[in-house]
Amino acid sequence: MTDTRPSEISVELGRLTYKVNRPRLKKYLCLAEIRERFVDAAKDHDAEAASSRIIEYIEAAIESSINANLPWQEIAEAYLRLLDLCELLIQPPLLMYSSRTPKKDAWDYDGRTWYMWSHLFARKYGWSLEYIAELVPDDAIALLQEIFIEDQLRQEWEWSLSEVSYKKEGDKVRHVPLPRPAWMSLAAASKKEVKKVKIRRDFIPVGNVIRLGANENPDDT
Amino acid sequence: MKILTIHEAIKLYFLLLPHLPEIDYNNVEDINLLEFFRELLDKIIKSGRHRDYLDIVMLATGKSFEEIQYLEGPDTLNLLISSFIENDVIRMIVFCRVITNAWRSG
Repeated sequence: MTDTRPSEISVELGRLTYKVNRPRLKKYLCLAEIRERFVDAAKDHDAEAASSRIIEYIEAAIESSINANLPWQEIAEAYLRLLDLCELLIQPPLLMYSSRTPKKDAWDYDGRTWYMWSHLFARKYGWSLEYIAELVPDDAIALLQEIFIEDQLRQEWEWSLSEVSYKKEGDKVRHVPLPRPAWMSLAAASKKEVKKVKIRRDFIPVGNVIRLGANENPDDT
Repeated sequence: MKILTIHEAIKLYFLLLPHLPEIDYNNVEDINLLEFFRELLDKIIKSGRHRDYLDIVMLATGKSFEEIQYLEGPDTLNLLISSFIENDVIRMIVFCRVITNAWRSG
Protein backbone atom coordinates (compact mmCIF):
# COMPACT_ATOMS: atom_id res chain seq x y z
CA MET A 1 0.00 0.00 0.00
CA THR A 2 1.50 3.33 -1.06
CA ASP A 3 1.47 6.10 1.50
CA THR A 4 0.73 9.35 -0.33
CA ARG A 5 0.23 11.40 2.84
CA PRO A 6 2.73 14.16 3.71
CA SER A 7 5.46 12.92 6.02
CA GLU A 8 5.80 16.33 7.64
CA ILE A 9 3.36 19.07 8.66
CA SER A 10 3.67 22.55 10.13
CA VAL A 11 1.77 23.43 13.28
CA GLU A 12 1.33 27.00 14.47
CA LEU A 13 1.06 27.71 18.17
CA GLY A 14 1.46 31.09 19.85
CA ARG A 15 3.00 32.68 16.74
CA LEU A 16 5.60 29.92 16.52
CA THR A 17 5.72 27.33 13.76
CA TYR A 18 6.72 23.78 14.54
CA LYS A 19 7.64 21.24 11.88
CA VAL A 20 6.45 17.79 12.85
CA ASN A 21 7.35 14.51 11.16
CA ARG A 22 5.10 11.47 11.06
CA PRO A 23 6.07 9.63 14.24
CA ARG A 24 8.03 6.38 14.24
CA LEU A 25 7.07 3.49 16.48
CA LYS A 26 8.42 4.60 19.87
CA LYS A 27 6.96 8.08 19.60
CA TYR A 28 3.74 6.72 18.08
CA LEU A 29 3.22 4.42 21.08
CA CYS A 30 3.97 7.25 23.50
CA LEU A 31 1.35 9.42 21.75
CA ALA A 32 -1.12 6.53 21.67
CA GLU A 33 -0.77 6.12 25.43
CA ILE A 34 -1.42 9.81 26.04
CA ARG A 35 -4.46 9.53 23.78
CA GLU A 36 -5.72 6.57 25.83
CA ARG A 37 -5.34 8.56 29.02
CA PHE A 38 -7.27 11.38 27.36
CA VAL A 39 -10.05 8.92 26.52
CA ASP A 40 -10.20 7.82 30.17
CA ALA A 41 -10.41 11.45 31.30
CA ALA A 42 -13.13 12.20 28.73
CA LYS A 43 -15.14 9.20 29.92
CA ASP A 44 -15.00 10.58 33.46
CA HIS A 45 -15.89 14.09 32.22
CA ASP A 46 -12.69 15.29 33.88
CA ALA A 47 -11.96 18.56 32.05
CA GLU A 48 -8.73 19.21 33.96
CA ALA A 49 -7.21 15.84 33.08
CA ALA A 50 -8.59 15.84 29.51
CA SER A 51 -7.13 19.26 28.68
CA SER A 52 -3.82 18.33 30.33
CA ARG A 53 -3.65 15.24 28.13
CA ILE A 54 -4.25 17.37 25.02
CA ILE A 55 -1.40 19.69 25.99
CA GLU A 56 0.79 16.69 26.83
CA TYR A 57 -0.01 15.12 23.44
CA ILE A 58 0.90 18.28 21.53
CA GLU A 59 4.08 18.78 23.53
CA ALA A 60 5.15 15.18 22.95
CA ALA A 61 4.37 15.44 19.23
CA ILE A 62 6.19 18.72 18.61
CA GLU A 63 8.89 17.93 21.20
CA SER A 64 8.61 21.34 22.81
CA SER A 65 6.65 22.87 25.67
CA ILE A 66 3.73 25.17 24.89
CA ASN A 67 1.67 27.75 26.70
CA ALA A 68 -1.47 26.00 27.96
CA ASN A 69 -3.26 29.35 28.13
CA LEU A 70 -3.34 29.87 24.36
CA PRO A 71 -6.84 30.35 22.88
CA TRP A 72 -8.64 27.01 22.64
CA GLN A 73 -8.96 27.33 18.85
CA GLU A 74 -5.18 27.26 18.36
CA ILE A 75 -4.74 24.24 20.60
CA ALA A 76 -7.71 22.46 19.01
CA GLU A 77 -6.47 22.97 15.48
CA ALA A 78 -2.96 21.79 16.35
CA TYR A 79 -4.32 18.78 18.21
CA LEU A 80 -6.57 17.69 15.33
CA ARG A 81 -3.77 18.09 12.79
CA LEU A 82 -1.39 16.07 14.94
CA LEU A 83 -3.99 13.34 15.48
CA ASP A 84 -4.43 13.21 11.71
CA LEU A 85 -0.66 12.93 11.20
CA CYS A 86 -0.56 9.91 13.51
CA GLU A 87 -3.44 8.09 11.77
CA LEU A 88 -2.49 4.66 10.53
CA LEU A 89 -2.76 3.80 6.86
CA ILE A 90 -3.78 0.21 7.54
CA GLN A 91 -6.52 -1.06 9.82
CA PRO A 92 -5.49 -4.59 10.77
CA PRO A 93 -8.05 -6.78 12.60
CA LEU A 94 -5.76 -6.74 15.64
CA LEU A 95 -6.66 -3.06 16.08
CA MET A 96 -10.16 -3.09 14.62
CA TYR A 97 -11.52 -5.91 16.73
CA SER A 98 -9.52 -5.52 19.92
CA SER A 99 -11.31 -4.53 23.09
CA ARG A 100 -11.60 -0.75 23.45
CA THR A 101 -11.22 -1.09 27.20
CA PRO A 102 -8.43 -3.60 27.64
CA LYS A 103 -8.09 -5.11 31.06
CA LYS A 104 -5.24 -3.47 32.94
CA ASP A 105 -2.74 -5.91 34.36
CA ALA A 106 -1.62 -5.46 37.93
CA TRP A 107 1.93 -5.01 36.62
CA ASP A 108 0.97 -2.22 34.18
CA TYR A 109 2.60 1.21 34.33
CA ASP A 110 2.70 4.33 32.15
CA GLY A 111 4.91 3.78 29.13
CA ARG A 112 4.78 -0.04 29.30
CA THR A 113 3.37 -0.38 25.77
CA TRP A 114 6.73 0.50 24.23
CA TYR A 115 8.58 -2.04 26.35
CA MET A 116 5.97 -4.70 25.60
CA TRP A 117 6.18 -4.14 21.85
CA SER A 118 9.97 -3.80 21.73
CA HIS A 119 10.31 -6.97 23.81
CA LEU A 120 8.13 -8.90 21.34
CA PHE A 121 10.05 -7.65 18.29
CA ALA A 122 13.46 -8.13 19.90
CA ARG A 123 12.59 -11.68 20.95
CA LYS A 124 11.10 -12.59 17.60
CA TYR A 125 13.45 -10.89 15.14
CA GLY A 126 16.49 -10.08 17.26
CA TRP A 127 16.29 -6.37 16.42
CA SER A 128 17.90 -3.69 18.59
CA LEU A 129 15.80 -1.23 20.59
CA GLU A 130 17.04 1.62 18.36
CA TYR A 131 15.96 -0.22 15.23
CA ILE A 132 12.54 -1.07 16.68
CA ALA A 133 12.01 2.54 17.83
CA GLU A 134 12.41 3.73 14.23
CA LEU A 135 9.93 1.28 12.67
CA VAL A 136 7.03 2.72 10.68
CA PRO A 137 3.98 2.19 12.96
CA ASP A 138 1.93 0.58 10.15
CA ASP A 139 4.67 -2.01 9.54
CA ALA A 140 5.09 -2.63 13.26
CA ILE A 141 1.39 -3.27 13.83
CA ALA A 142 1.14 -5.59 10.84
CA LEU A 143 4.20 -7.52 12.08
CA LEU A 144 2.79 -7.68 15.60
CA GLN A 145 -0.38 -9.23 14.24
CA GLU A 146 1.71 -11.84 12.38
CA ILE A 147 3.56 -12.67 15.61
CA PHE A 148 0.26 -13.18 17.43
CA ILE A 149 -1.17 -15.29 14.59
CA GLU A 150 1.91 -17.49 14.46
CA ASP A 151 1.84 -17.96 18.25
CA GLN A 152 -1.87 -18.77 18.20
CA LEU A 153 -1.57 -21.32 15.36
CA ARG A 154 1.38 -22.99 17.08
CA GLN A 155 -0.58 -23.18 20.34
CA GLU A 156 -3.58 -24.61 18.46
CA TRP A 157 -1.35 -27.30 16.94
CA GLU A 158 0.13 -28.16 20.33
CA TRP A 159 -3.36 -28.15 21.87
CA SER A 160 -4.62 -30.54 19.18
CA LEU A 161 -1.86 -33.00 20.14
CA SER A 162 -2.90 -32.94 23.76
CA GLU A 163 -5.38 -35.44 25.26
CA VAL A 164 -7.21 -32.70 27.14
CA SER A 165 -8.36 -31.18 23.82
CA TYR A 166 -10.59 -34.22 23.19
CA LYS A 167 -13.92 -34.65 24.91
CA LYS A 168 -15.77 -37.95 25.12
CA GLU A 169 -19.46 -37.66 24.25
CA GLY A 170 -21.07 -41.08 24.54
CA ASP A 171 -19.27 -43.39 22.09
CA LYS A 172 -17.76 -40.52 20.16
CA VAL A 173 -14.74 -38.37 20.88
CA ARG A 174 -15.00 -34.72 19.92
CA HIS A 175 -12.10 -32.32 19.44
CA VAL A 176 -12.53 -29.08 21.40
CA PRO A 177 -10.61 -26.36 19.57
CA LEU A 178 -8.45 -23.93 21.48
CA PRO A 179 -10.39 -20.66 21.83
CA ARG A 180 -9.07 -17.86 19.63
CA PRO A 181 -8.61 -14.28 20.86
CA ALA A 182 -11.60 -12.00 20.31
CA TRP A 183 -9.95 -10.06 17.48
CA MET A 184 -9.36 -13.26 15.47
CA SER A 185 -12.86 -14.64 16.01
CA LEU A 186 -14.55 -11.34 15.23
CA ALA A 187 -12.43 -10.81 12.12
CA ALA A 188 -13.29 -14.32 10.91
CA ALA A 189 -17.00 -13.75 11.60
CA SER A 190 -17.00 -10.48 9.68
CA LYS A 191 -15.43 -12.17 6.61
CA LYS A 192 -17.89 -15.05 6.61
CA GLU A 193 -20.19 -14.64 3.64
CA VAL A 194 -23.85 -15.55 3.86
CA LYS A 195 -24.42 -18.36 1.39
CA LYS A 196 -26.89 -17.46 -1.36
CA VAL A 197 -29.68 -19.99 -1.66
CA LYS A 198 -31.91 -20.06 -4.71
CA ILE A 199 -35.61 -20.29 -3.91
CA ARG A 200 -38.12 -21.59 -6.40
CA ARG A 201 -40.50 -18.90 -7.64
CA ASP A 202 -43.58 -20.82 -6.45
CA PHE A 203 -42.12 -20.97 -2.93
CA ILE A 204 -41.91 -17.22 -2.44
CA PRO A 205 -44.85 -15.32 -0.86
CA VAL A 206 -47.76 -14.26 -3.04
CA GLY A 207 -48.15 -10.53 -3.69
CA ASN A 208 -45.86 -7.67 -4.58
CA VAL A 209 -42.23 -8.43 -3.88
CA ILE A 210 -40.31 -5.27 -3.00
CA ARG A 211 -36.68 -5.65 -4.03
CA LEU A 212 -34.49 -3.53 -1.78
CA GLY A 213 -31.24 -4.25 -3.62
CA ALA A 214 -30.85 -1.96 -6.64
CA ASN A 215 -28.78 -4.45 -8.67
CA GLU A 216 -30.83 -7.47 -7.81
CA ASN A 217 -31.64 -9.62 -10.77
CA PRO A 218 -35.28 -10.80 -10.73
CA ASP A 219 -34.22 -14.03 -12.46
CA ASP A 220 -32.15 -15.01 -9.41
CA THR A 221 -35.17 -16.40 -7.63
CA MET B 1 -14.29 39.53 26.01
CA LYS B 2 -12.64 36.52 27.61
CA ILE B 3 -11.07 34.02 25.22
CA LEU B 4 -11.31 30.52 26.60
CA THR B 5 -8.31 28.25 27.08
CA ILE B 6 -8.53 24.58 26.10
CA HIS B 7 -9.15 23.66 29.74
CA GLU B 8 -12.01 26.14 30.04
CA ALA B 9 -13.43 25.10 26.67
CA ILE B 10 -13.60 21.43 27.66
CA LYS B 11 -15.00 22.34 31.08
CA LEU B 12 -17.67 24.46 29.39
CA TYR B 13 -18.48 21.60 27.00
CA PHE B 14 -19.05 19.19 29.89
CA LEU B 15 -21.31 21.79 31.54
CA LEU B 16 -23.27 22.30 28.32
CA LEU B 17 -23.39 18.60 27.41
CA PRO B 18 -26.58 17.59 29.30
CA HIS B 19 -28.41 20.62 27.85
CA LEU B 20 -27.20 20.60 24.25
CA PRO B 21 -29.95 21.00 21.64
CA GLU B 22 -30.42 17.90 19.50
CA ILE B 23 -29.33 19.32 16.18
CA ASP B 24 -27.02 18.20 13.41
CA TYR B 25 -23.58 19.34 14.49
CA ASN B 26 -22.00 18.08 11.25
CA ASN B 27 -23.02 21.20 9.34
CA VAL B 28 -21.68 24.00 11.49
CA GLU B 29 -22.53 26.66 8.90
CA ASP B 30 -26.23 25.77 9.02
CA ILE B 31 -26.55 26.22 12.78
CA ASN B 32 -28.27 29.42 13.84
CA LEU B 33 -26.52 30.58 17.00
CA LEU B 34 -29.55 32.43 18.39
CA GLU B 35 -31.83 29.45 17.78
CA PHE B 36 -29.22 27.20 19.37
CA PHE B 37 -28.97 29.56 22.34
CA ARG B 38 -32.76 29.70 22.81
CA GLU B 39 -33.04 25.89 22.76
CA LEU B 40 -30.11 25.59 25.16
CA LEU B 41 -31.75 27.95 27.67
CA ASP B 42 -35.08 26.12 27.31
CA LYS B 43 -33.40 22.83 28.10
CA ILE B 44 -31.59 24.28 31.14
CA ILE B 45 -34.85 25.76 32.48
CA LYS B 46 -36.76 22.51 31.90
CA SER B 47 -34.01 20.44 33.53
CA GLY B 48 -34.32 22.49 36.72
CA ARG B 49 -30.51 22.58 36.97
CA HIS B 50 -30.31 26.37 37.22
CA ARG B 51 -26.94 26.20 38.91
CA ASP B 52 -25.57 24.95 35.55
CA TYR B 53 -26.64 28.23 33.93
CA LEU B 54 -24.75 30.20 36.55
CA ASP B 55 -21.66 28.02 36.13
CA ILE B 56 -21.85 28.38 32.33
CA VAL B 57 -22.12 32.18 32.58
CA MET B 58 -19.24 32.42 35.07
CA LEU B 59 -16.99 30.18 32.98
CA ALA B 60 -17.81 31.68 29.59
CA THR B 61 -17.64 35.31 30.66
CA GLY B 62 -14.96 35.08 33.32
CA LYS B 63 -17.21 37.01 35.73
CA SER B 64 -17.46 36.05 39.38
CA PHE B 65 -20.68 35.09 41.14
CA GLU B 66 -20.72 38.48 42.91
CA GLU B 67 -20.37 40.36 39.61
CA ILE B 68 -23.18 38.38 37.98
CA GLN B 69 -25.46 38.91 40.98
CA TYR B 70 -25.64 42.64 40.27
CA LEU B 71 -26.32 42.24 36.56
CA GLU B 72 -29.81 42.43 35.09
CA GLY B 73 -31.08 39.22 33.46
CA PRO B 74 -30.87 40.55 29.87
CA ASP B 75 -27.36 41.91 30.51
CA THR B 76 -26.21 38.47 31.64
CA LEU B 77 -27.76 36.95 28.52
CA ASN B 78 -26.04 39.50 26.29
CA LEU B 79 -22.71 38.81 27.95
CA LEU B 80 -23.16 35.09 27.46
CA ILE B 81 -24.14 35.44 23.79
CA SER B 82 -21.15 37.71 23.18
CA SER B 83 -18.87 35.14 24.78
CA PHE B 84 -20.41 32.36 22.70
CA ILE B 85 -19.82 34.36 19.53
CA GLU B 86 -16.31 35.41 20.50
CA ASN B 87 -15.36 31.87 21.44
CA ASP B 88 -17.05 30.28 18.44
CA VAL B 89 -18.90 28.02 20.82
CA ILE B 90 -20.55 25.88 18.12
CA ARG B 91 -17.13 24.94 16.69
CA MET B 92 -15.96 24.35 20.24
CA ILE B 93 -18.82 21.89 20.78
CA VAL B 94 -18.07 20.15 17.49
CA PHE B 95 -14.39 19.84 18.41
CA CYS B 96 -15.19 18.42 21.85
CA ARG B 97 -17.75 16.02 20.37
CA VAL B 98 -15.22 14.77 17.85
CA ILE B 99 -12.43 14.18 20.35
CA THR B 100 -14.59 12.81 23.18
CA ASN B 101 -16.77 10.59 21.01
CA ALA B 102 -13.74 8.67 19.79
CA TRP B 103 -13.95 6.35 22.79
CA ARG B 104 -17.60 5.60 22.03
CA SER B 105 -17.45 5.11 18.30
CA GLY B 106 -14.08 3.96 17.42
